[in-house]
Amino acid sequence: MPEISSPPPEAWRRDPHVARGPLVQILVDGLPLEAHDGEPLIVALGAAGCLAMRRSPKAGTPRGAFCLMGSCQECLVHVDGAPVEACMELVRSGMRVELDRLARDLRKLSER
Amino acid sequence: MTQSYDVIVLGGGPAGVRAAIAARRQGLTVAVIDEGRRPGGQVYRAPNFTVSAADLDANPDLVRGERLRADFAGSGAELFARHRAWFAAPGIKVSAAGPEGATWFESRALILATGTSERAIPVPGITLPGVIGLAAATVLLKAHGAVPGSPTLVAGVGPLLYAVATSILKHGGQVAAVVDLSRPGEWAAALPGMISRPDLLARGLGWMLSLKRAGIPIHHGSTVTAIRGDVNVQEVEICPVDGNWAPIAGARRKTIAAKGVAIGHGLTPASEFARILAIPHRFSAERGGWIPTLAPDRKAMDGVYIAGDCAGISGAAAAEIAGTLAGLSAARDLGALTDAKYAELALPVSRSLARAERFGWTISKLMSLRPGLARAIASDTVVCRCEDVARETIDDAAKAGATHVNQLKSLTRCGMGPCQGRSCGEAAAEIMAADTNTSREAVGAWTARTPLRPLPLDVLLGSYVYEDILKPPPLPA
Ligand SMILES: Cc1cc2nc3c(=O)[nH]c(=O)nc-3n(C[C@H](O)[C@H](O)[C@H](O)COP(=O)(O)OP(=O)(O)OC[C@H]3O[C@@H](n4cnc5c(N)ncnc54)[C@H](O)[C@@H]3O)c2cc1C
Ligand code: FES
Repeated sequence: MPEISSPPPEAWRRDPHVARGPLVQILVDGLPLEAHDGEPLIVALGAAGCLAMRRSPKAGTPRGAFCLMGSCQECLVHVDGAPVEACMELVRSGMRVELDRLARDLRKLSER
Repeated sequence: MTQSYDVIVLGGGPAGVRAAIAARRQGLTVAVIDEGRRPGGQVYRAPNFTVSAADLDANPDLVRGERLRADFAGSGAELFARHRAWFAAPGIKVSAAGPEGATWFESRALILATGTSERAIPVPGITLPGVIGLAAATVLLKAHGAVPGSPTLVAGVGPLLYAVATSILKHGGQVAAVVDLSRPGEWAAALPGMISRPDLLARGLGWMLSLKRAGIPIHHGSTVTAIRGDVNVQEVEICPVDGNWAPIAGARRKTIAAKGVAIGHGLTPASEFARILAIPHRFSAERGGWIPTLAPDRKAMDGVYIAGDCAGISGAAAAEIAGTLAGLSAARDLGALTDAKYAELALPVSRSLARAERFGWTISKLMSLRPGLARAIASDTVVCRCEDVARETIDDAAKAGATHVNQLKSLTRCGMGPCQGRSCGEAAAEIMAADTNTSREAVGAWTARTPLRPLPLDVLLGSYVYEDILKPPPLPA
């Protein structure tokens, strides 16, 4: 399983002293990522240095989690095809995460 | 299917949990609806990891949270976890969207305990990934056991600055600096109000001391004026402020290298349910914004009670006590408690509430938003994150004659995106008040609209009739 050996400095870091679930594999835009079972998806993404979840619908600027409480909607991703807030969703083995699909969908709509 | 209870509690934070326990203890059936997985709310957010004895030793909030959860589990009240309420009507009817779709509830009493959301007045670069809220950072640290990009610059106002910075160090991260809008004199002036809770005061002083000892630079009376980086945070510019929190023109700005930012300018009550029920509100900068009017026994209208920070920022300790009072009041009105018994039970509760509120109100006053911060927002800074509405667009709407935030919304789409204005409402209203040379009272608040929270379309389709939807008059009434 490919591992991010040294995440970039802007990545979030898990406190190594905290007891977490076993490591499982999830897919992020088709690429495998190791994460702890039952941890918030946003932590798995953040710890891999994946801070930009999506683009803003109009200006297209990169956006990521801000409120961490399910309010701002900036962390919206698709999991197994359904839109979810990455800050409220927990990691499950094999979950398929797609970033930025919302932005792509919106672009398609506006091209019509 | 409709679920029937004597009492529905919206929100399973300290206020909601204590309300549920108090009502249940008088023999009433109680359901608590919360979008989280376990009770606890924001301050006592249940950790997503296995709690060790060392964790409990190090963190009194965790101990309180575990006690709250244990008390709730033994109370016989039911929890609808992972259910997000989106509809409420007098009568009482509530709907919440859960993993299996919408659940409808009916009850004889409704207790609102939905807490707060964080206020963040935008600066250039605040939308960069890696910039998170200050209250949000407490969630990342205490519930997820993770730290933001290191070193983190921690900025804004209030005790959470010091709680977050200390916790980042404790969890193995680095802190670039703490940038506090308040000056030491303002903290000192707050001391008499904080003495009512010596335990909490001592904890706050302990945070400040440990940061000093760790050599973390603390910039008092300063604000962030820009966050820079291409796709990630690289550096943060800070500047001293005047008494209105406006950056002082010509003052020397300082640039600090950082890889993450936690920034927040206080909390604002999550009052959308009170607003959709057309409960009268008044504006109180000191209590966080628009707050519902209610009787001292927490009753706001027939069958509806409000407790905790959603009734005005008062802090966690006051939230728990106000929750108990709301639960008792509901039990009295539903005939489960005689007036005499109510008086006996409520008296000590009201007394300790007053003490806790003295502490909580002192803090919320310290954090109350001053006009200089929003006035200083640059023309091209994005205010509404969802719809990419920049300050200049709001200025243009005001020039075109908009005088109420509802007009601003229909002219510019500011506040119309998926967050429903929770992220930008405070900043947009401050800008409108400045542009129209009026006040927050005059520019009002966005009228709450059903659904109150973003929902998948299939939950909504066919689940209610249009006549059921409340259309409250705009604030101010
Ligand atoms: C992100 C955040 C972090 C905070 N961290 C701290 C801290 O570390 N220390 C501190 O002293 N104070 C903190 N606070 C301040 C906090 O408001 C109070 O300390 C305290 O939690 C207030 O208790 P409460 O019961 O009024 O509300 P809360 O604790 O906020 O509880 C409200 C509950 O209602 C639920 N809810 C809201 N709307 C809905 C809905 N539509 N459907 C379903 N459920 C809903 C929420 O999930 C939440 O569990 C924080 C605030 C925020 C916003
Ligand atoms: S970070 Fe705001 S909704 Fe997830």
